[in-house]
Amino acid sequence: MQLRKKTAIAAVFLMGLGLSACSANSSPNAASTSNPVRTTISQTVTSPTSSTAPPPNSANSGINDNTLNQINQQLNSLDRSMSQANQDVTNPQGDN
Amino acid sequence: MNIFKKTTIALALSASISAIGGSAFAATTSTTSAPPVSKPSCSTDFSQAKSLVLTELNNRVTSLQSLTKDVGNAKYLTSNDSAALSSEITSEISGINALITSVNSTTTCSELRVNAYSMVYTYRVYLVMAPKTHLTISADAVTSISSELYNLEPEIQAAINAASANGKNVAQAQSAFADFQSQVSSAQSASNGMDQTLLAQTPAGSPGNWSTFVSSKNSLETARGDLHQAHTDLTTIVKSLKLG
Repeated sequence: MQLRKKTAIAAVFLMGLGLSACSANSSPNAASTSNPVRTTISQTVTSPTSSTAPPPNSANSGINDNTLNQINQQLNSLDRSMSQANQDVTNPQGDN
Repeated sequence: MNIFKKTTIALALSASISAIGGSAFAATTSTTSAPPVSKPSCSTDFSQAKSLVLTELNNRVTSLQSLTKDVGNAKYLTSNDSAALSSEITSEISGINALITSVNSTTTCSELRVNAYSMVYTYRVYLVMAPKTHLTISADAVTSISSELYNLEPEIQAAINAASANGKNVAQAQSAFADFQSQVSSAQSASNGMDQTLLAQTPAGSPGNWSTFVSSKNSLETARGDLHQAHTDLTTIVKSLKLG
């Protein structure tokens, strides 16, 4: 396929994405001037992903499974220290 | 066994020394009396008695070093409480090490007895320092965790309200939340000021302060149960509102 034809197809594609500002560039040097277009395309493509709506019912609350896990870890730490304290009080080492 | 009975039997080292056959310190003492007078038989078993005292001293150093590690690893211990405990433990290690030096140079049973007496009554590693340290760590943990759970309450209520506004039946979540608030409140009350009470306990106050350690332990055990129940309540809330 000829380069000119390829460029024309690409221009049509870009125009379809609303990026007509780049369609006039059909020279062999188009690659060097099309970087901004690529950036724009990337932004256009990624934008919907980054703005994906949060799961239902979680939008207004930061309380979730992670919260529960964190609290559980804290309770495990408390359990360990209480186990030592319980040993100290119920069966003191060396009795004195 | 009752702690006071244990104290009577074992604290003055007399029982331990007797156990090796020397009866060097066979006379029991009250917890406030002066060191008993050495019996003549001590002279024949002096090396054994000295070795036993050194073993007991080294065991105490090991225990105190373990307490130091526990303080260093305690995530929820406040900086002030950590500093207070560390200072006291360090001081005890220094004192016990000084006793080791002293015992190594003793040549008489009476000298050995004075050092052994000091080891028990001056430092109270097992009857004061150990429970004091671990209970303070636990009390601060209860305070920290209950405070964190308390701070979640507005957010939990908001989530319940939002779910209700969306037409969801929130009866189960609201009931669990009411219990959550009650459990957190109980835990907060149990640990409030307890660290200061514990830090105020000294070797000189033993064995009279034993009841403070027992009651603190019992209160913290209850608080620990309260916090576990609060966690269960929050799990119920998250699941019923599908917040996970």
